[in-house]
Amino acid sequence: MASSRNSRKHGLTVQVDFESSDVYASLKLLFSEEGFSPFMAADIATSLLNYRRVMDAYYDTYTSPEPVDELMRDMSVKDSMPIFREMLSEPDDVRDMAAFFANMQRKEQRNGGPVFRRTVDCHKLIRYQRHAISRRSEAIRHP
Amino acid sequence: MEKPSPLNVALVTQLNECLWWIERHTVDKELLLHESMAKILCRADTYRDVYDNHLVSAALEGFFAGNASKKEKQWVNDLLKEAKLTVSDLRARGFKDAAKHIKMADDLIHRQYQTMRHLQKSIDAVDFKSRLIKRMDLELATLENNALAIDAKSS
Repeated sequence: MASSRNSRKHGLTVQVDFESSDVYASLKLLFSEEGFSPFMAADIATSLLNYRRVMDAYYDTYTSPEPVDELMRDMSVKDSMPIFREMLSEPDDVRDMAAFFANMQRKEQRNGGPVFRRTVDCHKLIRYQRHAISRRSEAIRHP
Repeated sequence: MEKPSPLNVALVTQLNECLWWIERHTVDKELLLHESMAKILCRADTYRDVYDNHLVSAALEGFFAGNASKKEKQWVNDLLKEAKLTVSDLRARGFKDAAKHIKMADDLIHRQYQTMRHLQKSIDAVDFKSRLIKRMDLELATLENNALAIDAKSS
């Protein structure tokens, strides 16, 4: 599925070890100095880094949607029939080839332009955002 | 916030990011509608087998902005005539065709609003916590002063 492909691509489906990063250590120190307990400071630092990871993936997804295959989208299957006939001898094969291209073209047109694609792709990341946000809120508003 | 803490700064930055995304997705909603209308118009073209959104999209943009050339304006009018649509019909049909995606863009905007609500609560919690700590420090200082005063009196 495209949604899992996207999340896998950005590593959102795997747990990340933030604790070994320098940013984590700096954030934890800052929050400890602010008066949070070490446990809370660690939790807040992790949740902030996790949220950042999700939003970076969201940004990447938004800025680089699946490219539009303009050649496929704009081609005229009807006008391409003589080329298919030249390439293939069997009439059945020519029909199959035309059907294949027509099918691909429909799919390409259905996906729409870049704005349609990035909207669909970003929509698939909503659940990761929701999870990251509630985790962050929980960490900060921990009693 | 009198003196923002690092956490508050991080949260306010995220709040700002949410506003940026809301703006972006709002523009996208218009773009979705625009692309959808361009798609309808180019299907009405005589060369309907060739699906080319770019030219129609550019002409339509100028048409709506009121700065289309005479030729572009004529072309859009011809396409509307061929499609048997008025401008408002085109907008309605464009909206209908892109409804699913516009709803998705709305979901994305809504998500950002929810994030902002969460952030606002978190900022308040952090602010309240720091005020509470400050108040407790002051109370502690007062208690210490009182204790010192008692010590001084008894000696």
